[in-house]
Amino acid sequence: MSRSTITIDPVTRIEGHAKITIQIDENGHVEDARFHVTQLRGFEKFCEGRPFLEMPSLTARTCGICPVSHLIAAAKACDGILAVTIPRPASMLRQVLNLAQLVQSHALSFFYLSLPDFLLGMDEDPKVRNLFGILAKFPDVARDGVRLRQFGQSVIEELAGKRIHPSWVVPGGVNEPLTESRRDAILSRIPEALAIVRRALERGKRVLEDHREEIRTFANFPSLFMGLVDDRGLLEHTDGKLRIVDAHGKIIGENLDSTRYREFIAEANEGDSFLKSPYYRPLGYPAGIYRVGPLARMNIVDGCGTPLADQEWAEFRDLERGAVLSSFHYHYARLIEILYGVERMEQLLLQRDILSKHVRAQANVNNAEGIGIAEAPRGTLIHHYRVNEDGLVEWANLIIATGHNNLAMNRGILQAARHFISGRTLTEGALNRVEAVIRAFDPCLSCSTHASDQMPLHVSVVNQAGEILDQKIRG
Amino acid sequence: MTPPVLLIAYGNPLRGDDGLAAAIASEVSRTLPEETVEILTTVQLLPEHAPSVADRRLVIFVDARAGEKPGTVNLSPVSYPDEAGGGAALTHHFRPAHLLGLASLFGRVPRALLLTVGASEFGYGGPVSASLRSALAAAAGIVAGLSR
Amino acid sequence: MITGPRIKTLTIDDKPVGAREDETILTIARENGIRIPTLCHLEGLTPIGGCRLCLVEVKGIARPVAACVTSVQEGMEVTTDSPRLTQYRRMVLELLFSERNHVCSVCVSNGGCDLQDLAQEFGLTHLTVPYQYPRHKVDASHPWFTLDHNRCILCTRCVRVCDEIEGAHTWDLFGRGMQARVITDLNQPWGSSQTCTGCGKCVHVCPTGALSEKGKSVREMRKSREFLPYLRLMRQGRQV
Repeated sequence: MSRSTITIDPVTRIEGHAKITIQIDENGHVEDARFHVTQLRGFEKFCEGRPFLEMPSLTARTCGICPVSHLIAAAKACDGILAVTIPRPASMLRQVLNLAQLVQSHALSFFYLSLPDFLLGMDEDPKVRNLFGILAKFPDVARDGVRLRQFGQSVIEELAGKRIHPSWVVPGGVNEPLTESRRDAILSRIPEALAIVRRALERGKRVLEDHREEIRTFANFPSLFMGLVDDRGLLEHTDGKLRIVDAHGKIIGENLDSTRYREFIAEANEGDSFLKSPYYRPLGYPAGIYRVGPLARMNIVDGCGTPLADQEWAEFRDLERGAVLSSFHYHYARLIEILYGVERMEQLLLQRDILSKHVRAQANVNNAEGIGIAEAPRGTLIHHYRVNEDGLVEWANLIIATGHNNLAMNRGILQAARHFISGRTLTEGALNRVEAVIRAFDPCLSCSTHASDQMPLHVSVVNQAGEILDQKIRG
Repeated sequence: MTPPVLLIAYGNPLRGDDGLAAAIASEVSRTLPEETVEILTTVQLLPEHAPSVADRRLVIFVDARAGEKPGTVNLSPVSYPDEAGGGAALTHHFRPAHLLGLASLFGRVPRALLLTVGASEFGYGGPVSASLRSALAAAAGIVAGLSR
Repeated sequence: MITGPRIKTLTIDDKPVGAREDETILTIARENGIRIPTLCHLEGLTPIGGCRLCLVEVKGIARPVAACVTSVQEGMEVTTDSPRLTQYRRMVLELLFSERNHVCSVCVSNGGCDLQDLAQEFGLTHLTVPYQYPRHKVDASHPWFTLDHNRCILCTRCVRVCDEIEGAHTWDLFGRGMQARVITDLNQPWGSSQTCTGCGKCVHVCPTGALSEKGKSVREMRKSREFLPYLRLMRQGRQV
């Protein structure tokens, strides 16, 4: 048998455009697996020369699914250029907005994209393995999914308006205070959201347990984990400082000063993908592999800081002695984060000064550099700008959440491919599992609205001479 | 009170004739009071529209269709599942039948009709083709008649 | 004996109107509630007929004329709206959009822009002419204001208001054709201008986001021009 390559292009049910290649050696064993992002978008380049106040809106255009994450990271970088501490109500309002985005994004990932695999089975026909398959067999679950996502979206609308790209978050804070009626409207929807996520967690835990093989093989390996924590070491998505823990759960980087992220994060460019590969600089490349996102956040914190989520978190951390290593548990972590998000929103909205009119600090350019770090649903998002003395952007660097996970995703695909693919037998289930590894990370690849769902999945086995030995087309 | 009839006009007004549904919707909104018919204009159908579909007397979907002869107005019942089945649908390929399917989760599934108008120009920009004016008026008339 | 301006009678869109002989078609149309779209024109500034958006048809004249600079004449038959005029106006707008980098979505004046309003009025969602994507720098050297050439349509409202109302004449035009742009003083950075009084009138008469106040984020710049006719009157009053 000759060496061959399996290509999965495009990967379905993720946000963005990507393909997977799987190299098979002469003996039919998986030799290597790679994950490629096939688009270059060049945002950093066309920000150059623009007034820094435009950066939140400019960079929010990288994504129609999670513009809020970019808005917040960009606004924070701009706060740094203004050299202001934003008013407490503004900071809390940004937090609520960010959590609403987290809830709706996680709800999409879990209910719409991932649950079909769990509830209907990875080997089920893709024609059935979708939201409508869930509708037929588990209508209450489908209803919860629609409702929960609707909840997150409605909170974003109450705060920032109906636009896909809201301009409510501005450098220095937000541009309008929250009104009492809007606050009350959001609060009134919280009990239902809370009930949904508690149901989802109960069911989710049961379902995920049944996937022992996937837990064992889905990007399950030691790595570092990175994310933001607040000053008490608790879960934090909007403010806070970076923390890095190792596979044993030991803190190896604490209170990392965001302005010096380049001292501990380096980026490698690999020729076959437009996605940069960041790694933890002190350990070098590729040993400095780390993961970000829900799983990482659960691994780095000392607790969530809300009562129900704290209980769930304690249970989650009991899964393993050190950090929880299987990327399959991203799903589980995501559910706990939804719970936290709903609880935390309520806590914030009940703060006495949440309706304060003081929501914006005004200033001119006071710093030539600004760095904003926020936790996007998919992980740590870093915006870093340098401006001239007039406030025009001279240089920008964006490290997106999916980028941090690039090395881990590659290793994860290889692990799953080795386990589920042997020789040239391309079973639907095996391919779906390789894809599902990627989906566990919930990557937002091109940061564009192009959900590639229902696109045909084209997989081919190619030998070194380029001849197609076998191919499978679905969709 | 929720209006008994929901009109869902979908299509991208930036793509020529794809804006036909929105044009029909705005015509209908001029002739009918908002207590009678609620109008939802959207670029594409989304699962989150399902709760507002449930418990109506009638839901009318309006869409411009590339495959049909320009100017022909077609009215057909919608039910879930339809002959195309559930499909691997999400976001970009979400159909009226899918929305009805999800609506069952939130209340009574309403009677639903799909009104299509055949169209040909889906390029960037440009208003709805002038040749579709009479079809537009006819379609708006049909929708108004059904809504009363 | 005092001789006032003579009165002329004419029709605009078949409506008989009377006008003083020194009035323009645009003025008399507006007085009679007939809307003619304009862009470079601004009440209180000298009209220049630059943008050609106010083109109207006059019976007996083959080419359309700019309503803002054409005086009324006895017996004129003016048409302000026709398929040909709509086509010309659309083309004017398309050319304006293609010449610079007008990106509404990230613009301070999004939602409060004369150019954007007209594009919406004419249903202009895409261009039929290619974008030029010129490279233009942003001048943010002034402590309070920003000049973004990418959004400038060369209407010269800033030049006129600075000259006619403020009396500073800081602004001027530089270069020709595609290279033309507004400049401050002798093409020096705005922040180093010796003549600019920092009054901000240019910013508020600017129809787009080309001139804006610093500190404004996307969609936050709103222009107020109520001051203009008032200032004009005050100046004329003083001169008499």
